[in-house]
Amino acid sequence: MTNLLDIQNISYSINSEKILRNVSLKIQSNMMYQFIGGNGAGKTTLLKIILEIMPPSKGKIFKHQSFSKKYIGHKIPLKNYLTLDENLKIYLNNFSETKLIDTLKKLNLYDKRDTKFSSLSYGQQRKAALIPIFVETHEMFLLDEPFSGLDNAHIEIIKKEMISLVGDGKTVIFTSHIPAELECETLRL
Amino acid sequence: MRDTQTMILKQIKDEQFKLQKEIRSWLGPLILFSLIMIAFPLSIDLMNIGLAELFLNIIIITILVTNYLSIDDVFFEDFYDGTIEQSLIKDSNLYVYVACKLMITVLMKILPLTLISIVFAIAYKVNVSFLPDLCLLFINMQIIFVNMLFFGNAISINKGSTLGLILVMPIIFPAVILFGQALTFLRLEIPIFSIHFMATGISIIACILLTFVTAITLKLHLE
Repeated sequence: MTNLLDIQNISYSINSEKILRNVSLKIQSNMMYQFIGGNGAGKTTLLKIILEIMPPSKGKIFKHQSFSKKYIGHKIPLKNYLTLDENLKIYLNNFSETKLIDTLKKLNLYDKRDTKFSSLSYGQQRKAALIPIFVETHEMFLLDEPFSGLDNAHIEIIKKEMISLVGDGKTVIFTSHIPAELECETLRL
Repeated sequence: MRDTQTMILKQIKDEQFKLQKEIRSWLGPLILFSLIMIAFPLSIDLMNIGLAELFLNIIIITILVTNYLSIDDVFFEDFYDGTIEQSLIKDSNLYVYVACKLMITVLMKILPLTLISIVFAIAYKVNVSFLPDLCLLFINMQIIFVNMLFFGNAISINKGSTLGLILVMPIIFPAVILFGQALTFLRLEIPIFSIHFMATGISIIACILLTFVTAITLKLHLE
């Protein structure tokens, strides 16, 4: 296990309302982290601070080494006017075609490749957004409520993939409203 | 280095593909431009004003309006579906993203619009010797307009593009005056080399500087 990030006393506030208060955490490779909290607890904010999209109001993040990361948030960056297949060609980077076909079959999306993205159900759209965790290679995956909108069978498939990523030496950070039954370090916000 | 090149090429290819598939986004402005150019002569007394004169009088504002409508929602969808967020995470800044958008806009919107403008210039019996000058003027003019409108769009991404237009209009006016003067000189058959040099210089500076400012503005919105 190697240290990737040191989050030191991070605070974040918007218009004098404190969203995060003195959050400290060490992020290491080969580990899974879960940020738990209710609505507005600051889970997404903390992910965005780690991703350097937002600067913290106080505290700092010390990066031990550079690493590639993939963020899958609430928003689905796929276009309604393109088919699933066309969208994936734009959305995915450095992926193997065979792995993609396997993943599409696993997620029951293989038959939907030529369907317009707008015609897919919300659950199917969420599954499509999660495809990078199966086919892309990154050192860190940050997933914002990855199980929302998915049925139980697919939640288990995603969980299995997250465990396998950690087994391969990757780091997985995810947020959730309720504790997911996964072996991971939990941060309550 | 090779990774960066591959990444930029993929970004350009993706932007081109998205725009090509979103037909209304590039075909709509071309149709609108053609309709204005066809409809305008019908609304005035052509006995007192020649077609060529009319063309040179209305072309700048028609191009400005068409440019505005064609890039009205240029960042809107990407901002709200998280595409801009993903670009920021991937490249750590949005310069490449904005530059690629600009390049594809030039190739798929500005160049076809210039071509149609020239076709209308010929149809309106504008002196053929003016055409090379007009072509260069239209390209430079649109590059400047589009850069400014990109910036306006970025400023007002969560407030509607009309606000952005209002904010950048004062910067656009000097460009409108400059190109208006260039057309007057053309009518008087005064050479406009110096205006071409100046317009090309301004459009190069606009491409570099405004792309940078637009990228920063978008990043600030994400924060």
